[in-house]
Amino acid sequence: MAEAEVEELPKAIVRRLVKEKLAQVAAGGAEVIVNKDAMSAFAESARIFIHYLSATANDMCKESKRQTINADDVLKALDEMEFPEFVEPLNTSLQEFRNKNAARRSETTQKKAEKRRKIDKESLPQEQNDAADHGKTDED
Amino acid sequence: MAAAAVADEVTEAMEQVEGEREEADAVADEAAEVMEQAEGEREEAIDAVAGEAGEVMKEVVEGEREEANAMADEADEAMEPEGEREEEADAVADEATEPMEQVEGEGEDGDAAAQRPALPLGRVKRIIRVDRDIKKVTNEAALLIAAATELFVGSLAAGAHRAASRRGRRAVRAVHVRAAAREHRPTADFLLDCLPAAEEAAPARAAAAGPSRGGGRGEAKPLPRGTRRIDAFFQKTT
Repeated sequence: MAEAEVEELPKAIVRRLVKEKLAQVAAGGAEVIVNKDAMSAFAESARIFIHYLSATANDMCKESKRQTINADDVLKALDEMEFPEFVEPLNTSLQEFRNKNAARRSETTQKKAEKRRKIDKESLPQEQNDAADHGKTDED
Repeated sequence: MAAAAVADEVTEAMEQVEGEREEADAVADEAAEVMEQAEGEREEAIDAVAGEAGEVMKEVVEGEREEANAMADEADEAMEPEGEREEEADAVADEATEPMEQVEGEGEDGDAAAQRPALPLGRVKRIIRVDRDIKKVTNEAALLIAAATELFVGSLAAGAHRAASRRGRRAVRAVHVRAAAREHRPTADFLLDCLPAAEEAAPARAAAAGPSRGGGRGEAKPLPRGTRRIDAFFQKTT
């Protein structure tokens, strides 16, 4: 069986991440040039990091007798991999993500309510029709 | 005479009533048709989303529902195939890159992790699932992995910049990335073996390795507890 094609991360996005960081750390705002070979190394490193982190998180997941990797498994994996400095900013990201999700859910609920109201309004012509039939019966 | 007039009036009234009824029927028919169309479209969107969800994501029920809702909303707003959406996202990223470079000096110093991850989540998920052992990943977990990867790239870039500065260089090269990886032991543990060794890096590495490692030069480093080698995933097929 042929091995799956290797997925790559978008170079443009990796470049943006690197440039943003270098703009922060460079003293006096001097521009820092990044060669193409370095940019390829960053992209490859990022991909390898994803594999390493997800494999470690998978181990955490299995230790807990579960089948699905969740957020806690990822955070524990970072401790295991000795990247504890990442855990706090990631907790912040997680909270913001959950808040956004909650907001989106309530938005969806509102949309459904509006849809129901619209359907009720559209059923009005039916009543008019019934009234017309009723009038005819009276005349008979 | 009077009876005839009354009869005429009655006939006229009946005709009016019938006309009104016909109008009402037409309106009702139109409404029904519109509703049928809407339902058809919704079913189509839901089927497409469900198909994509089944194909692309294997997640816990909650994760699936959340994602399906999100994708349904997106599908309702813009009836685009996912491929086109991804292409648009890439195009937008490319467009964003140029202005960003122009205003590089004035870039915001916001923490990257504080914003939604820039790495495309679909791509990250596909990379995660290259590992056959991994069955299911919640959306939150995938999001955290993407955000962690951004932090990692940032710290690696900072390290590479330090390495370049120490060598009196204004340009960051692959050799500096390797140097940054080597200086951070947790990174060195999993990354050095996988990065391709540049020709010019060999003498620098030999010089650096000598004093710092002594007898440990030839030995493969023991892996951190609970982890395993993942080199196999990165072998390129020729």
